[in-house]
Amino acid sequence: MSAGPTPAKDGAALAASGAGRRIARLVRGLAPARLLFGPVFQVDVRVSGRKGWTYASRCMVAALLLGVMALAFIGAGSELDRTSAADRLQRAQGIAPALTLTVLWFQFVVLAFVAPSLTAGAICDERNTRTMVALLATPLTAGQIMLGKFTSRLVQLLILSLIAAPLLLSLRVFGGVPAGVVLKGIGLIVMVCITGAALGLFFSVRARKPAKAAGNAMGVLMLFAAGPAIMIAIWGQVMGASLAPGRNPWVDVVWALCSPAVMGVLSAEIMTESLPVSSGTLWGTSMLLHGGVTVLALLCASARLRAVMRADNIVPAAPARRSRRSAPAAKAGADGATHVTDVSERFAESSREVSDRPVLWREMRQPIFRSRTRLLIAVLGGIAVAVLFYSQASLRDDDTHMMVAVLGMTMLVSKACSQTTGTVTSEREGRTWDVLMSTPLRAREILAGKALGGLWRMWFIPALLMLHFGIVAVPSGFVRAEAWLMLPPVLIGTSVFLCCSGVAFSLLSKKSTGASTWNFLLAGGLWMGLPIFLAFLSGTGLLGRGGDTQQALSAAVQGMNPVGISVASVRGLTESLGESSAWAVPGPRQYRISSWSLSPAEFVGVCWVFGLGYCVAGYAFLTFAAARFNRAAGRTS
Amino acid sequence: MIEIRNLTKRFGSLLAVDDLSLTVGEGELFGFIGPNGAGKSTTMKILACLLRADSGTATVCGLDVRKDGEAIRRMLGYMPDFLGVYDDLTVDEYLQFFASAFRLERRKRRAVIDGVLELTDLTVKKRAMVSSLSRGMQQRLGVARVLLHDPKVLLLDEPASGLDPRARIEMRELLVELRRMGKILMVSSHILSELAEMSTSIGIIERGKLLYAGSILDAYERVRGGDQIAVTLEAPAEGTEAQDAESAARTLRADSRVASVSVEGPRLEIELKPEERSHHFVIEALVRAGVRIAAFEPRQIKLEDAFLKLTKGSVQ
Ligand SMILES: Nc1ncnc2c1ncn2[C@@H]1O[C@H](COP(=O)(O)OP(=O)(O)O)[C@@H](O)[C@H]1O
Ligand SMILES: [Mg+2]
Repeated sequence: MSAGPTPAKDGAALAASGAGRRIARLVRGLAPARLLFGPVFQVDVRVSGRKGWTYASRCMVAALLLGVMALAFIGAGSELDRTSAADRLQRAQGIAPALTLTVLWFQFVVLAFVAPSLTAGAICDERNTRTMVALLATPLTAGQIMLGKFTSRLVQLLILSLIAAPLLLSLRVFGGVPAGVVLKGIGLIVMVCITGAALGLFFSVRARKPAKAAGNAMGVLMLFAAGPAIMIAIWGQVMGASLAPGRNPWVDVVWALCSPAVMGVLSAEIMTESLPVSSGTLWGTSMLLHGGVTVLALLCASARLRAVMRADNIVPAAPARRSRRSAPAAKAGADGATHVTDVSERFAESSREVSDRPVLWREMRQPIFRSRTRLLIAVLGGIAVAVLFYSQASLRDDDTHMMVAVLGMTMLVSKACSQTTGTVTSEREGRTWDVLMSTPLRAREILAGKALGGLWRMWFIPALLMLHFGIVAVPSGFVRAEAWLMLPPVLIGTSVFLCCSGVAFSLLSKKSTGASTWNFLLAGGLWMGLPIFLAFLSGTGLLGRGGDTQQALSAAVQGMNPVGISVASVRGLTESLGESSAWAVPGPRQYRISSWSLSPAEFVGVCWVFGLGYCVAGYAFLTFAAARFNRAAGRTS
Repeated sequence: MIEIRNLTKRFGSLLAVDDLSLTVGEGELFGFIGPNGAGKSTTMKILACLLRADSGTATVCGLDVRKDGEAIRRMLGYMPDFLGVYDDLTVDEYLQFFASAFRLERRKRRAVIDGVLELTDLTVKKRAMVSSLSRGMQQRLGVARVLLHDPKVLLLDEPASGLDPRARIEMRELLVELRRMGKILMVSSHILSELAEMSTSIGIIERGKLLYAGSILDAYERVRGGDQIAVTLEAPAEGTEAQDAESAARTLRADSRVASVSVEGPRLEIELKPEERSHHFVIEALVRAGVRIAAFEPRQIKLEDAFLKLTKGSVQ
């Protein structure tokens, strides 16, 4: 596959002057086949082909897609029951756009999450297994390595994104869906994924763990999605005009960076077919911008890799790890030697006493933010968001609290899902696991230490939520004081559960990405899969429409969902206190889970059952893992 | 005491340890020698209760590795072949971490840590980050870590690998010091000469099979065969005839203590019978035959040759 240089060309290059040689090398390096499908590409494709995980993920995406389709179809088709064939066909034509949109959006969301994690391990796994040095010692340039890694993952991504193509094509049979717009949608999805993959690769160069790189890349993607929207919202406030996408070409340039907005415009076009403005320019600009970001990310990644290469060349004995310990030092061109003394001096004054629970002690010592810069960015960003939020949103408004609850819980769940999944795998990678195993520490002690340490390091999310509800909203009288009793068990139970299951998966998986995938699947299955499954069951009518069983089940499913129970509690907590109480119902105040109504005392009870239940479930996970521990860890007893 | 009986461990179809039996007694420093992939680390991991053997038994101080892992862990120090370092800790914190993991009382930790740092000559690096240590220091820190809980038995997997000659000597001195302290040591290496001097006994393993176990002197005895001596005759003076090497050889061949003699110009290569230890009769016979000797060199059999001889033919 790779186009080798011809001997004549080589000879010429050798004969040429230094500059000429450099140009020759550049030209050879730019030969697209060699650049894109070089050795790195081939090895990576082969390796991923050998991993069962690759195929499992494809099947999973396909299965999920079919599931979502089936649901949407059943949901829309349930009223079709007693109608004539012609009627049904007409209705089916009506649903086709909705189904298309479901599939498109589903793909958009799923792939935007998958793309960064596909590339996130590319460089950092290589470094963790110490094969990076060998790769860097070959004549491959940083750019070639990067592109090889990139294209090999892109193949995966394309396969994943094309799984839906037959589905979308079959939907066209129903008619009523403009093909061009659907193609534009697919194009945008693929483009956003490519951007995500490039960003994942960029962060992979310096990241310690793949999960970190993936998280950073997703963060940037989300920034692209949310940033323009916020900017335009402020802009609109200042101008006092509505600046929806598709109205003003200048505003559209900003909107184009916000892929959900572009998807929204495309959706509107699919649904109505008659939007006042065409989405063409917006879409084109968006594609161009995302392409630009991709190229930029890849260039920066190559440059970064080259910097890492240089840093490693200066101190051959130093593991690559060292250069990532202090990125600023490496950036400033400081050599390894001064850096080493700098590290040992920095810690010279402080040597902390280790407690009697060494694993927990170490976990708690792990910094929440890797560097001071990042901490600063997080704090400043947090303050900015808070100022923006409290200046724009009114505490009187129930929606404000609802939004905080939903966003906060989502953040909590996604943080907790990946919080502890690297704890055991990273010890294995750092080869410290064997050493730890040869101590008399017990399984439960090690695992509980890791889970509790992880929990400790994410204190700030529950703290922020309690700050909003308990400290800000309750005293100002727009949220009832029961919040103090209801929210803590919900927040703590959820975090405990996911931290514990994360440690369990970390023990049983080889890589932290695998572990966090399992943990996300667990959370997704419990809190998204179950409701979907239930909706599916009631759609098929197996449970009897509106019967008691169905009501009990849906109440249970909502009640065990952290977001669901938070929504229910915030509803009750804010009901008829603020101004826009859309859901205020006359009569005695009640909390509603699905179709059940509970008194405040009962609901507090539910929250505590929720919290304790998840703590017990988390403990069960740990116990299960501890039981499997010796086998998984290789210990004999 | 370490006792291994008929230990076998497979990884899939690969036989990593094959029916291995050996004993390491009190106060011994056992050198475990074999090329890469021979099964040294696997055996040590089984002894450290980190890996379950497929069959056979192994006991450490009378405790079965299958049943008493917990108790063994308290009296055994295991240092893996690759020192995993928590690169975000200082040397002191690293040792404290493991002192705590081994449940040392808090009051005693300070003294114990200072003690092992002193012993391993790392006191000056107490506050340095573990990741900033040189490879030799990291290995010594690994030894310091295994000493924290004052174990009776030490399993050190390739402690000298990757060290420069100086660090190697320091490591050797440290190990000899530990043996003097009465610990049972099992030290692996793929280089025989690295262990030969300090070991009280050695075991040679290849492809999972123990080819030899016993004292290093016995190993020599086994492979030495007869002593070899090279004799060079004086060059002839101006105008005189060259000495008759052949007739000298004939004289020697007549002796029952000589196994063989070969002649190459002015040089005689003499091999004695294996049981023969003294060399003086060779000189006497040559002098009696009127030969003038320029050089008389008994050949030492080299360690590595012994190693090769010991293992040759057993594994194809
Ligand atoms: N976890 C494992 N899985 C599969 N094979 C292994 C594993 N550990 C070791 N081996 C194999 O067992 C053999 C012995 O390995 P090892 O004991 O590490 O050798 P040594 O330490 O003597 O170099 C080698 O061929 C190695 O590849
Ligand atoms: Mg080994």
